[in-house]
Amino acid sequence: MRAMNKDELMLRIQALEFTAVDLNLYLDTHPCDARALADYNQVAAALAQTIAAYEQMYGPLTNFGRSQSCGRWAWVEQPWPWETQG
Amino acid sequence: MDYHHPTGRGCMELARAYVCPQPAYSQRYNPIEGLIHGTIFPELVRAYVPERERPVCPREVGK
Repeated sequence: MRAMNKDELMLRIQALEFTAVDLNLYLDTHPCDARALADYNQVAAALAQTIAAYEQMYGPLTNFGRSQSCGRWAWVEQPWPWETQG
Repeated sequence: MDYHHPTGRGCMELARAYVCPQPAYSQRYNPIEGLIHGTIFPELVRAYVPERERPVCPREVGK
């Protein structure tokens, strides 16, 4: 699989987060559904992996201790959501 | 919950919520398709159709 660029990685993160939320909501009312639970865990792992790949290349996605900043303080150097291309 | 209108128009029911029983989990969209559809569950997809494009309800025919 080819490496994803910044926008593709962000889209992948958004899509995986959405899937995790929907599975989370389903599991709230179906906590014994083993298949949904397995899917949730698989999606959560893929999400963590994709976020790590994004942050390694483009800087932290979250602050206040939830992401590390390697080399320099990169949080304030990134574009704000309204500065990104649509 | 009923809402009592401040102008005294009586008791107004603002909304009524209900939850559709969801079938057992059998299939889901992949993450990108889920994001596009607004749900990962195919059985819950109900695309919005603007009122002017909706088929006419049989009860309204002839009005």
